[in-house]
Amino acid sequence: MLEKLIEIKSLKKYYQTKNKTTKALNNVSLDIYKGEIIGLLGVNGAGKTTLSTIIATLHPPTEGDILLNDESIYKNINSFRRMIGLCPQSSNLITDLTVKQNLLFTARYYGLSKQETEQRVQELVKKFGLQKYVTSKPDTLSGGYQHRVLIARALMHNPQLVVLDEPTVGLDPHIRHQLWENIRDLKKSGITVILTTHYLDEAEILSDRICILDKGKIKLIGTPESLKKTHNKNKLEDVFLKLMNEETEQ
Amino acid sequence: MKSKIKTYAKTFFHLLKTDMTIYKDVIGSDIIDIMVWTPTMILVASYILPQLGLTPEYGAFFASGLIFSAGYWHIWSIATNFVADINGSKTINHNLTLPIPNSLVLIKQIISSAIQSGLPTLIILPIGKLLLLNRFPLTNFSFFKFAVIFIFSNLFVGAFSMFIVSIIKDMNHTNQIGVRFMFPLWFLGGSQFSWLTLHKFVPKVSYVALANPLIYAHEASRVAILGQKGYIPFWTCIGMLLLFTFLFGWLGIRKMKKRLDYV
Repeated sequence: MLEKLIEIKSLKKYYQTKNKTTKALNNVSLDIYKGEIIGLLGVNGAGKTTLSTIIATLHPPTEGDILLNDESIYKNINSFRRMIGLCPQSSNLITDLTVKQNLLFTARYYGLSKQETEQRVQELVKKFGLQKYVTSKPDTLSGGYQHRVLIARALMHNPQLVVLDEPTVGLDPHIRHQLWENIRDLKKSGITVILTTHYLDEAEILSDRICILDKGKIKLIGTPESLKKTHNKNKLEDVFLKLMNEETEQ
Repeated sequence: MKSKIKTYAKTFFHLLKTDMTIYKDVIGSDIIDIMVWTPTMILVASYILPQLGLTPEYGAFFASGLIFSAGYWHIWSIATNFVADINGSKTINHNLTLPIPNSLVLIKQIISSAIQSGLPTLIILPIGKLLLLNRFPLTNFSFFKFAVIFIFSNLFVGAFSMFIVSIIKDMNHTNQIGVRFMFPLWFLGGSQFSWLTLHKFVPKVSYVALANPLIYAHEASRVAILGQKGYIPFWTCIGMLLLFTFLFGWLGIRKMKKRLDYV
């Protein structure tokens, strides 16, 4: 039986502008299980990034809660933050520091000792093939390597849950495939992954479960196989297109 | 509770250390900036303006206030970098997901700004003395008062820079804030005159000027270097500066919470 890691309960996120309220998330409820890769899928503006950044505690929800062991994460947010790592969509590494310094400082923020930090940096640098780039400034790296550094930084403190927000967007196909391997490795090492993407093939290949978001609501959730079976389609892409067409017709 | 504070303190220290590691590469350039523009201003104030009727002591008076003014104008570069980050690469977002209360991340920013604006200004006093020699008497110089005003005025600069960042919408608005807000505040904030001089000639305006925090920073800097005579009492200045530091720090953090939409 799958063990629940976190429970997202009736999450709402509204953005207020002068004359308008935008409902970025509208009553989203979802359980995330230990060790799974869950793909958050949807078109631009569906609410994927909003949901993932709320889970990563960057932004607060307007309403609703996230529970860890039946208790709101907001009661002890800093201890929850120790078990989560966020890899944002675009690089927010410190460009004045080297790749190694970016990783070293992150480890120290989480209280790792000097020795643990050195060890962890070496481990992750090797794992993500960054040996040649440790002394480089992040803005001199290609998009693919910047994403690897971002993932490595998100893993510095050994989190149980990692949120990857569109990690392969804008990357060449072969670099995407290399990153897929890295993501699979996370699962193998027991880390739960929330993967935000709008690439259907990526979601289908990598995810244990897929959650399709549209206009801030969950449209469908299930394993890729069950979604294809229910909708009588061979490919996830066809399921997605069917859903989107239904939405347009409505 | 004790261990929680210790953990937060460690993270806070390492965040500050990150900023200082970056600043280490920039401080040389900041010092060169100060070595170029402060002597220019001190020389004009000491040797040219007295020809127009100002007293020969004006140079020392001006140089003493310049120590704060130079830090104050550093807000410009702090604000520009911070706004560029918020609207650009968002490195701040990484800090806002760390296991530390987010308000502490912004307090770290205030302290980091205070250090970065203050450190290079320490060379102004020796520069002033070298340029003005006997025209810059240090017989009333109080090291203790200088240390106090140096720390508090730069903490004010840090808090005020947070407030400035919080009201700048984007990079296109930085110039407007500078011209419409920061410059008048500085020019009317005792950078060129003492509060008592203002009070002597336009008493009503001098009372309004008491709402300008820069008056207290300039006055206290001069008290520490030139002595108390002719200025607002030193500890009154420190008290008022502290008040304004808390006010602008609180307002800045509050507005930033709304702007960055953090937990």
